[in-house]
Amino acid sequence: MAPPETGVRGPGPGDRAVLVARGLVRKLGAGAAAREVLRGIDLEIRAGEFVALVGPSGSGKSTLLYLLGGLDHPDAGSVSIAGEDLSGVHDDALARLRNRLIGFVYQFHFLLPEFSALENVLMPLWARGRGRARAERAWGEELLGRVGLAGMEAKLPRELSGGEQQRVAVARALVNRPSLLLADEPTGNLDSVNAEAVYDLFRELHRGHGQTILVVTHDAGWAARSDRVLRLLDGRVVGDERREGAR
Amino acid sequence: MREVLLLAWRHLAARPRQSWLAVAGVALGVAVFVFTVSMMDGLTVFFTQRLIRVSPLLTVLPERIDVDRARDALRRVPGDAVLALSRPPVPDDRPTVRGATAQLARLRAVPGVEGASVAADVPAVLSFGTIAEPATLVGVDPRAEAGVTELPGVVVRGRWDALEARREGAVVGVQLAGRLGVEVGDRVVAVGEGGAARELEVVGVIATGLGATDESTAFVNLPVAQGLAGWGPDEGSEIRLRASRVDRLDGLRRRVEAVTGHRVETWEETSRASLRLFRMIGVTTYLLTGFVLVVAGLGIANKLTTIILDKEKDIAILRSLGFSRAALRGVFIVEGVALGAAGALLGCAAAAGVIAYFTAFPIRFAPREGAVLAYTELYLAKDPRYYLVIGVAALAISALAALLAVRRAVRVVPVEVLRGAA
Repeated sequence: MAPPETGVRGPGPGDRAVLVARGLVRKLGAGAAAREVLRGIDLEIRAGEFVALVGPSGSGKSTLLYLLGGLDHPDAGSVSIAGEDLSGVHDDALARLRNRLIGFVYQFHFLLPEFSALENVLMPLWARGRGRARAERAWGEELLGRVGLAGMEAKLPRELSGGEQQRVAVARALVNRPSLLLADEPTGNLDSVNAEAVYDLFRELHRGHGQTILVVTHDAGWAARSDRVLRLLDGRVVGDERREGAR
Repeated sequence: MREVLLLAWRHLAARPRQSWLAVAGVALGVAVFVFTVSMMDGLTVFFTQRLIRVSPLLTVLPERIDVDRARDALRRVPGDAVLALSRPPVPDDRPTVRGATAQLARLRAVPGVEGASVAADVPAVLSFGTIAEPATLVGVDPRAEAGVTELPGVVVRGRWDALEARREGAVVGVQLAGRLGVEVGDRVVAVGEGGAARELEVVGVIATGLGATDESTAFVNLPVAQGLAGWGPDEGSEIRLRASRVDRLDGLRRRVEAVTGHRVETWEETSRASLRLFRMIGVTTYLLTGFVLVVAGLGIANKLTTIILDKEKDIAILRSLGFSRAALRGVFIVEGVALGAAGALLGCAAAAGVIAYFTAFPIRFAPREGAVLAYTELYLAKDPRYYLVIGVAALAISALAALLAVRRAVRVVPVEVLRGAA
């Protein structure tokens, strides 16, 4: 099985910063109703780290994740991923950067219902006008195999269980061999068995292939087993706890 | 590009009922439009063919263009130069072509003239028993007229040739004959404007298909009409010409005007009122039918807007996965054009089928009293350009509809949709 080409350092964090955020401020709402959801976030994630971002509802976790993933623009501050500064980049250019650098797993699988599991996995390659070559299809199949869905390539999303759908979404997030895998409560919609399977998958990606991962989670289990836990409260990072040897 | 096509196809295939409805809307619009154009053009072609068959292609009128030119020259000469002309030409109030025999001889020598005939149109009242009807007596040389028009071919009862044998004969329009209640062999009395009267024998009944002729015209020998009008034997109201090429009448007209010094009208100018009427009816019909296509286009816009609304989440996902706005715009434009193309093809096929059916089994109907044209059969014109132009128009409308609808798709901000969906 071919490992991801980027973010691969083997188990354990390296010295290279994959993600750097400086002074991130984000206001939501307009006029008098506007409120500052993020109030100057600084953080740095090194290659190969498995980071959990935790905090109560409304603390700004998802908002931060969308900013870090280039899906939203900060009102102030900057984000760079693998040395690429995302600030001031035009929407389409930002989409290309997302495609190249970031894999995203959402709380909902967000698979396209008209496309098979394999086609969904290959979708990020299609966005670059690729994904038809035999090697690329083989890579998609391999990813499906890696998430435990070998032989289910032709299934439509509606023919898969919730856990299987989420695993397809994980495979899709990895197909472009991203520098950074971002996940927004990836097990929030799953039962405990499927949640555990998805967690194991992330763990395996991290430990086996050195994938850099940042997960927003409410699940204390995820946090307990991550290398590093960032705690967010009222739009500020109030804790940054490194957990060497976490499992 | 292939990805764009695949995304578009899957969207359409996922909602077959909606897609087919949109296609059916365009197909219906295209089919109705093509059929209507075919019908309207058929009507015009039918009228034109009838007209060309029974009317001269060129008509030499009594108006002298050399007199007109002198008048124009007088108006154009500035200042003192007006005095150079001692008196303007005296207008000729008698509306006839003089020296018709000599004119005929000269005209027959003009290249492009295939036949020439003097005619005398004379207002008269025709009486049969107690019934009297106003009519136009058209005095012609029957043999010469047969070389100019196909009037002998549209005599439905009696014979055109009988006019030659019967100096006091008359070939009466079919509607006029009906109103008078005359048949071949009956004798009618014609009274001219000056009170001169002649008894005429009906030797034929003619049905040209043109309301004006069939309802109020009787063809008689030229001397009869001249006598009723009080004209000399060398006078006529017009000289009727047949040309070898119907599509090159302008040049021939100029040559004939140069030879005769009279104003010459083409058949289109003579029938300009009717032709304008047909054009107006055509334009009105096309506009009304065109709205069907526009409505079909709105159907496509509606279908795409529905897809886009329904797919807002998917669009956000595709954007988050790296698809550009241009690619997503392409997806929905391809969908609109595909629906339009399918509708245009189906519509053209349906129209071709209906036209073929009604050509094989034409609808026939009775002529209406007072109609400009005795249109007794649904005549459908056939021209590949109908399909091409209307098909392309349908495609353009569909693409435009897609462009309108797609603006929403490219405005989708992924984070707003995903935040709401989570």
